[in-house]
Amino acid sequence: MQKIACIFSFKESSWVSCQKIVFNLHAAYGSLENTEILNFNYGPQNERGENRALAQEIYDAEPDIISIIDHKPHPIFIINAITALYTQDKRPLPKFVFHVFGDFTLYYPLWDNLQKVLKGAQVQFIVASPRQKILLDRMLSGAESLVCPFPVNSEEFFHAPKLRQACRSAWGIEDKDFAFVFTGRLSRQKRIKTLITTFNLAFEKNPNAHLFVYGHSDNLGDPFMAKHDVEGEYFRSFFKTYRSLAPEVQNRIHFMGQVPNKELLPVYQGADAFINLSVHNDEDYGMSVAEAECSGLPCIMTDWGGLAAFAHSELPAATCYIPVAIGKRSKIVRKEEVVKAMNHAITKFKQVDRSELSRLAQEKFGVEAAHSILEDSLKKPFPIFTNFSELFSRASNANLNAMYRQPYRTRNNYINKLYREIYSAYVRPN
Amino acid sequence: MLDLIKAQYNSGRAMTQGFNWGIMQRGQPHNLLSDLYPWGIDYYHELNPYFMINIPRIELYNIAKIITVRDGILPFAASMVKNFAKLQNLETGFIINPELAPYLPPVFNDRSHTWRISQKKKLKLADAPNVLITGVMSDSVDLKVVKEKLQFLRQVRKDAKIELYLPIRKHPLISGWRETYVGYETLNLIKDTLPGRTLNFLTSTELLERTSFKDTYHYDLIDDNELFADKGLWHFIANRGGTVHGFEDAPAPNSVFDLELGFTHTLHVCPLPEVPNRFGELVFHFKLNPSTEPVYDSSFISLIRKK
Repeated sequence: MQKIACIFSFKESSWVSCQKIVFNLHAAYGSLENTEILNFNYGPQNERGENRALAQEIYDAEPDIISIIDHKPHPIFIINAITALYTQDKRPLPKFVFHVFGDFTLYYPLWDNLQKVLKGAQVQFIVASPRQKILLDRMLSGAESLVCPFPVNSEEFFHAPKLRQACRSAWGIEDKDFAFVFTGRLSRQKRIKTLITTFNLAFEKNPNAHLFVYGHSDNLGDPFMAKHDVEGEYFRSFFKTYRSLAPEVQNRIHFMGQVPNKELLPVYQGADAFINLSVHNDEDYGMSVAEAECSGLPCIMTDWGGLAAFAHSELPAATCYIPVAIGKRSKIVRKEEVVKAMNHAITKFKQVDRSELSRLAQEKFGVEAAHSILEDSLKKPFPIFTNFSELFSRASNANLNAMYRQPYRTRNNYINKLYREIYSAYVRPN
Repeated sequence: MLDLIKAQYNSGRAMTQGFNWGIMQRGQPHNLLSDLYPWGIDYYHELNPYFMINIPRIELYNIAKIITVRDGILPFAASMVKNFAKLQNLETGFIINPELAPYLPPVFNDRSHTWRISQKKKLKLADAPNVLITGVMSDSVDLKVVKEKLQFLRQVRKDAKIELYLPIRKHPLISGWRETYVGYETLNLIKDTLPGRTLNFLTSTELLERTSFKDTYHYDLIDDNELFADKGLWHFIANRGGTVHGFEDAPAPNSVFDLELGFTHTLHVCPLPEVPNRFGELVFHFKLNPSTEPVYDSSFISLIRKK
C-alpha cells in the first residue's frame, strides 16, 4: 500500500477555478488503488511555527509520495521544513509531485529557492495541458513534465438537454436565436472589450444573436505587458464601449453577474456557443472551457496556452480557434478572425452532436481521466531533479529586478526576447 | 459646467492612471490613506476621483478638468484652506459630496457640482445569506455611535453567515499609537446585538483577495463623511456583486449626469446645494493659526466640527 500525502489548503482559494481544481484533483487521488491518501492543511495563514509542526506531522506519517495539489501558498515553505527533517535524520526523501498551475510564472524567485532542496530528489512536475508542458519543460533542465488535465466533475457538468428550454425562457430568447456565452473573470487579459466590439461587428444587424456574459470585473490588468489597472478601470473601458453601441445591440448583450457553479450547467445547456478570447499569461488550461465542453457546448477559443488542448480530432466541428500572435507591443487577436469564428459558429454549431462532445470531453477531462493518468504515472520512477534551466534563471533574475525594470518590455516598451522565449510555447508554431 | 463634465468624461484623464504615478508621487501616500487602508484604495472613472489631501502640489489640480473629490469634510477643508492664496488661478472644477458644500471656496461655485452614488438591485438585510461588517477600530471611534449603528443589524436573518473586517489601527488624526479597547468593546457590542452567532474574522488579504461578494450585505461602521466621503472599499465590494448599505437605494432625482461605475452602482452628478458657506471663516482661522497640516490641527478640527 503506498501512502500519498496530499498537501493543500483546506480553505478555498479566492481564485474560483482553483477551488474546483483542487477539489476534483483530490477526488482523482482518492480513487487510486492500493493507496492511502493522507490530507494535510497547508494554508495561506500558516506561520513558520505551524509549517514546522505540519512538516513534522507529514514526516511522522512516512509518506511515499508528497503531492502538492494547490496553487497557494507557494510550497517552498513546507517543502523546506519537510526536507530539513529528512536531512537531519539522514532519511531518504520521499518522491515529490507538484501540480503546476498557471501562476508558476509569477513566482520564479520562490521556485528558484526550492531547487536547492529538491536537487537529487525524485520530482514529477505535472501540468494541465500540452502547451503548458512546452513552457515548463523549457524551465526544467533535462527532466520532463507530465500532462494531466485538471479534472472536471462529470456529476456537475454533463449534457442535459432538458435544461435548455428553461434557461432560454429565463433569458427571454427563442429557439431561433443564437446565444453566445462567456463565463469567467471580466479581465483585461480575457479581452472582454474585444468580445463586445466583435459581437457588434458581426451581429449589429442580426437581431437573433445574443451574448451572455457571466462574471465580475477585476483589476488584474496585464502586468507582463506593463498594463496596471486600478479598481474599476477595466470595467469603465469595456462598459464605455458597450454603451457606445446602438441601443438595439446593447439589448442583446447581457451582463449576468457571477453565478454559483451549480447554476452554470443550465447556462451551458441554454447557450449555443461558448466563447473565450483569453490571452492570459496564466492560461495554463481553461477550466471554464473544460466545463462547457463536458456539458456538450461547442466552443470558440483563442489558440493560446492551455486552450489549444480542447480540440477533438474525433469531432473537429465542435471547436473553432482564433489565431494569436505575439506582436511588437502586445498579443494580437485580430477582430476579423473573431468575427469569422462567430459567423462560423452561428452557421455550424447548432449541428454539432452535443452528446458526443460531452462524452469526448469527459473521457479526456473528467475525474476518471485524471485518475487513470495518476494511477499510471505514480507507480513509475520519477525523474531526478537537478536544477531549473538557464532560461528559468534569466526569467527569475528579470523578475527579481521587476521593481526597477519591466521584466518583459524593452526600453522602447516593446515585448522583449525573454517574453517570446517563454511564451512562444503558448502560441501555435508557424 | 456640464460642458466641463462632458469634456472631462471624453478625455478620461485621471490622476489614478498609471502614467501619472511619478508626477502624483503615488509612492508616498498621505498618512490618512495608510491609516485608513483599504477604505482609501484607488479606483477609476472618467471624472477623475481622487483625494485632495493626496495631491502633493496645487498645480497638479489642473491635470484634469474635473476632480471628483473623495475626501471627507476635514481633509477637503484642510486642503482648500492650506492653498487658499492660490485657488484663484485654478481652472479645475470639483464634484464633491453634498456635505462638503459649506467648505467649497466660492470661487469654484460656478464650476462645481455634487456627487451621489446609488446602487440598484440591492439585497434586503433581512434576506441576505451573508453579512459583512467592516470598520476601523481606533481611538477615534465613539462606541455610543457604534452601538446605535449596530441596531440596524438586528434584522439579520438567523442563519446568515456573519463576517467581520475590523482592523485595529492608530487614531488617524493623532501621530502616536495608543493601546485601545475599542476593538474588544466593539466585538462585545456586536455579540450583544447578534447573540449566539458564529463570527468569522477576515484579514485585509482575505478581504481583498475575495472575487465575489454575491448575496452579501455590506454594513460599514464608518459611514460618516468626516475623513473619507468616497470609500474605495465600497466600490470594491459593489464591483464583486455585494450590496453596499452606504450607497443610496435610488438614483438622485436632480442628476444632470450619470456614470455607471459598475454593473449595479452609478455616480450621479447633481447641482450644488445652496447652503451657508464657511470657507471664509476657516481661512480667517488659518491665518491666525497657520499650520502646515491643518488636518491634524486640533483647533481646526474643532472649528469644523462646530455646527
